[in-house]
Amino acid sequence: MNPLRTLTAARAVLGRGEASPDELLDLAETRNQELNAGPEPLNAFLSTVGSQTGAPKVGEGAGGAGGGDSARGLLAGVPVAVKDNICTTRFPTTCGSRILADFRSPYDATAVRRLEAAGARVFGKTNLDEFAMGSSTENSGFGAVRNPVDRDRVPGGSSGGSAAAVAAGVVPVALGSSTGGSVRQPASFCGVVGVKPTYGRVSRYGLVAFASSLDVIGILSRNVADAATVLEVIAGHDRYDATCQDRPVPRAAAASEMDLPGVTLGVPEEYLGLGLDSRVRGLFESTLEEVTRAGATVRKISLPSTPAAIPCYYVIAPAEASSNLARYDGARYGYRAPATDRLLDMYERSRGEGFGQEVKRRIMLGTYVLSAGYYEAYYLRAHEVRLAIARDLDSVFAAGVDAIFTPTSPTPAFRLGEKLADPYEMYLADVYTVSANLAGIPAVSIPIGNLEGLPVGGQLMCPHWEEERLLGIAGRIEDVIEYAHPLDDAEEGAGAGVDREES
Amino acid sequence: MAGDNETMTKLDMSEVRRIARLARLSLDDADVERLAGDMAEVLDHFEEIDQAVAASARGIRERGLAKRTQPDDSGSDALLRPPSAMAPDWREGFFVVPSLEALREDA
Repeated sequence: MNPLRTLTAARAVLGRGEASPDELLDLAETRNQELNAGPEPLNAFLSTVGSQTGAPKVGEGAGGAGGGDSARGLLAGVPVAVKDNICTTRFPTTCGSRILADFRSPYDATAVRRLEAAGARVFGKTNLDEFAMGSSTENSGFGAVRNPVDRDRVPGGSSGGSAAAVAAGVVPVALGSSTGGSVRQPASFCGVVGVKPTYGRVSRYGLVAFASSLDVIGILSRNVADAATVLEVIAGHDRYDATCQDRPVPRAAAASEMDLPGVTLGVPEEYLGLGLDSRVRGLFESTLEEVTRAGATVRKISLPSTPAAIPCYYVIAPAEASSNLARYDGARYGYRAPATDRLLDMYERSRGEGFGQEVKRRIMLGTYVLSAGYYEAYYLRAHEVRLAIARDLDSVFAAGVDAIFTPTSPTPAFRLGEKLADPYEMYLADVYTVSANLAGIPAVSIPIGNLEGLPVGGQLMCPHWEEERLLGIAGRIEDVIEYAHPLDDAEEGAGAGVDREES
Repeated sequence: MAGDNETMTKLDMSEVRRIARLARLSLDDADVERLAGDMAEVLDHFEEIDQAVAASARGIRERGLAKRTQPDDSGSDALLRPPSAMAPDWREGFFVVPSLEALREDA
């Protein structure tokens, strides 16, 4: 078995002395190069240890010599990946944008520092939709990422590089970021677990801002237990992020302490419409039957404001983005248009030439909805709708639902280029995930099966701060499903796990 | 995708160019035309939000029920703390940042 598939596997080979931390980094490099060879490169990484001048060697890497607890930490010696909109000093931080092509942060994000303090070795920075704006990782300024399960399809986005790297077994865990579903949706498309914590659970210090009231750092892994371990490492108060709350950190062990009997899952009727692929619906409904047989109670619920979530999101997120991205003007960061006579020309040309189409589209939308005469009609109204969405969710939890269970995305991974010409069609890939970001609640996507060889995810959402409950329920559903990843089947032969093919 | 003739929101080229100036973005004519259609479609979907949801949302504000969507921040004093309490380094009333020389050496 590939020792980079799970934390357990990596720690086992390290513990038995079968490989050193440096050898695991070398293995990750070899695997990444193999996946990039040929006419359909995966393109999951923008930089790796091997691509960097002065790459860390034994004892000087992340969590290296003198690291104290790092040698005994929860992630000691384990290679991890970090989405390239999270600041690192050892690697460039490009945000997948030409405008930041050469940018190197002078500091590490708090989440990265905590990974390293727990002994993790950052293997590389993963590709993403430019500034995390997209649902397919086709909007990267450095080329699209392919889905490792089917190279003709997208891995989802915007954390597509992180999801692809974990699914392909380059690293056992990776950090992503979620503004509207950018961890859960690619997790669903690639057949991995994706956790979006409560807003305020993980410090955003060093996460390049897209929409500050929605952005959170999330986790991608092959199983719930690994994600719970990483969450325990990176969560917790940070004085550098005023929105990061001082609360007890969720314990990874709690993810194994939950039983399905006694758990009530709410299934919103609105989520079973909204363009849901009938095959995804069939697979989701058979999952409901399995969890019911395992002792959970499934209750139909209603979240009437759900159809408003995408329109609401595409007012609020672009508004915040237009403000956050105003700093990229050619003066202080990255790309500067050459030979301009006037300062304003330099700003406009640097931004016009440096940003890609999707980023420009969102900056324009955001500027429009914040401009005089439109602010009340769009931005203020969107905030009211956001409150209505949050109140819907609160009401359901108050009525005794422990977790809301839905499909993660209406379809399996779509083909490269399939939705590029129609931005709104692309936006609808996040129709089930944006509500959790708008309300700030924690959510997770876990694989529930495969359709014609393509992974499909199921999403769980819980009230604020209930990550232990969320991951506990997710872990038990994972146990019931015994999902078999298509790449593991290919690697090890069919039969490793229950075949849930519903094609 | 809704074509221009299907959209309710009308964004003419001069309006898109005005927004581009506000956003400090240089756009060519093809960009302007494309963005006019894309932006109108997104805004149309917002206009079509179900009336019941819109009424519920308005009611939240009118009845003074607007609670914050972020957990716990109503009880947090984070933004009441002085800047020095949040600064990585703070000396004599100023934020301390790495020197340009240090950044060059790092690079």
